[in-house]
Amino acid sequence: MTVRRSDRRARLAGLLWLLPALILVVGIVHVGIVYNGVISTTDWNGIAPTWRSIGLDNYTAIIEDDVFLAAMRNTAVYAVAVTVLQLGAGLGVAVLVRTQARGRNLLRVLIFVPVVLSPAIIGTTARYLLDQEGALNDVLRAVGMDGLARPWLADSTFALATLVAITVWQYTGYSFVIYDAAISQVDPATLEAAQIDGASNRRTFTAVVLPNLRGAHLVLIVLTAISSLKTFDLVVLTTAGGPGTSTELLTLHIYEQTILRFHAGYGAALSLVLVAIALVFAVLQVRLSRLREV
Amino acid sequence: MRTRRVQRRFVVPVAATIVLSLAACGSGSDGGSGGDDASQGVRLTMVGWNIAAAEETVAAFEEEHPGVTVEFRPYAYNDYLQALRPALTGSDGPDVFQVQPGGMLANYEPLAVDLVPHLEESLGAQWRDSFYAAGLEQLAFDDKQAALPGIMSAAGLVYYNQSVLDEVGVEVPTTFEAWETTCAAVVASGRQCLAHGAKDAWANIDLFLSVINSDEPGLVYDAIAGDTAWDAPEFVTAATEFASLFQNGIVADGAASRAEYPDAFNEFVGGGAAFIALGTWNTAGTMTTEGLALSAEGISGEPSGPFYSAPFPAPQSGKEPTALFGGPDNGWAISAQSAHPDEAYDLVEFLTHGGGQDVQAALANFPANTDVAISTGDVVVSDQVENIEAQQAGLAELVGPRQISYPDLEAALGQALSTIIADPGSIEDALSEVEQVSAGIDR
Repeated sequence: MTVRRSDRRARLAGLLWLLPALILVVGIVHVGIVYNGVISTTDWNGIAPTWRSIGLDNYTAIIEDDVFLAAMRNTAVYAVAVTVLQLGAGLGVAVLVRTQARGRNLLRVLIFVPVVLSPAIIGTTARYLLDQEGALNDVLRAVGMDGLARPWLADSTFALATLVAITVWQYTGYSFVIYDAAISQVDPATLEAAQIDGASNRRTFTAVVLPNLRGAHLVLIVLTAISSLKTFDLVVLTTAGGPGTSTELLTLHIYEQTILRFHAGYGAALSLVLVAIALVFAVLQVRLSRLREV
Repeated sequence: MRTRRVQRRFVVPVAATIVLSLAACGSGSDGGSGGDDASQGVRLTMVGWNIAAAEETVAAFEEEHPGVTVEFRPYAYNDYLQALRPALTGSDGPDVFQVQPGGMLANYEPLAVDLVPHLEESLGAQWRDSFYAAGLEQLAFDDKQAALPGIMSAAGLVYYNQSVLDEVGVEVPTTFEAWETTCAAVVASGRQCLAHGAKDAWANIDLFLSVINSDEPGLVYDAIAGDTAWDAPEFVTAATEFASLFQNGIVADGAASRAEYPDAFNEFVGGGAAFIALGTWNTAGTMTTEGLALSAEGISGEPSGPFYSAPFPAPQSGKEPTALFGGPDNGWAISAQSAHPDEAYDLVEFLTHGGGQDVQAALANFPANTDVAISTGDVVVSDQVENIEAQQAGLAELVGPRQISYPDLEAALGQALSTIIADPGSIEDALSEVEQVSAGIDR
């Protein structure tokens, strides 16, 4: 009886310790999402004290919204491209600094510096560097590649790719740090054994190192994809979604609808679409993490 | 001992929970806007994004109204849009807030009091005579005067750098055809011709309105009202002429990723471009010594110039350039939740009709009070005076407003113009989409 009562007390104490965090998470995040869900079924303009319930009209309107479709397409391309390139580059640099290459410590620092810069600085600087008369084009012209010079962010063919490049440049250091830490956890004895067995460097990398980085891949894929879905400031500061709709991302469309066009109900519906997409990645992460544990 | 430990195990999380809950529930508010007590008099809160010399203005008001103090909270425009909503609907909102004519006023008007009773009591039955007609009309809803104009502004101008034109040996063009020739010479000198930030929808809309208000004066306002189709032939022609600016060397390549402020403006002030298509709000920053010094803070080196304004060139030879279009640059409204509407009105009247107008006029901003003349005492060169006076005269003969009252239509037009810049072959499709949005608006 004493043991059981003590267990109950311990369990109760645990729950009480959990309570503050639970109130914060449920009270702020989940109630917010539910409230958003309610707003998404109204025609609220975001200001008026009252609104009218319109059922699922906002969701029907989403399907017919050409800008939304363009934004979804752009967001998907952007998220996939950023995730693939950022992980590839981060892994490449992480492997490089594990070699005996000269200047690898300097490389560690340099690769991480852009991560700590504010997107406001990156966006504003990029606008100047990538302008028709910007530094990148000056370099291209100086090395005789005049044909490649163009207004990178103002050319609808290249604008989205340029945003991808800016993001990858800024956040590769983040992927690098995760990979660098993961590689340091690979058991040296395993690597040694592979070399004793005559495995080449490439074979050691693909058969020993890469499988040991599964956890890092998983975390980075999910976090990078979700972070890409949330990208907003860089686009606002560089292209504002243009030219045309070539760089319109979902977050920008939500902002325009909610703040600039006074469609808070419709913006809430768009936000829930974004939440649903992010949720897929979150569930994927949890599921895959469990698989890995098994 | 054990009991105490157990108690601690329970008490600490419970206490933390209670503290958090109280923190979450407590508003921290002292009971709303315009707080006051007997010793301090009335305290008003005023919010806005665009008022020059705010401190000086507030000090002048407080001196004129002993017992009333004003706290001004300035915001960047985009932040203001987000901050104003919760502020006006909460219990601790501002007494006086700034609005822009068009979509912003249309949505915030229900949260503002009608100023007519105050105006009639304070300025008499003829109160309208003290303001530009457009200044009042664009801030009114039916018979309700939701706000009063702070300063006036109008677009339909092109500002030019006389020293660049002199160096290149060209004159200010009056038609697109002449402009192309002028620009060829300017570009050959290593400069941009028309500095333009096509990243900003408002800048493109100003440019388009300048074009169509020359081609067919006033027709665009019929389209805004839903009486003319946006894909009518006149609009296709105007959009084609708009696109030609980007194809014929008038606007430099890469404009779509440049902002009007600071990119294009700094290029112009620094002497890197011969022209910029802005409006009268640009006068203080280019034609007065103090304003130009402020503008020069955004560039390296000394500002170029002298700068003047001229009518935006006519797209079609034989037609007149556009008349000015615009109205109140912004207005001041009283929150319906203000605890001190009378004192708040005193502040609004001061800003839009009284001493606040003198402060704006002294800074070469165009007053909304027709009895107050803009100051030309600080011009950079004396022959700019005539230029500025012509602008002020033009404010009384506006062809129409700058802002579009329907945010969806404004956004659709901005989107269409961005698309047209990127792909001039898409003009008809882009205008059809604008017409589709226009047809769906509940006017």
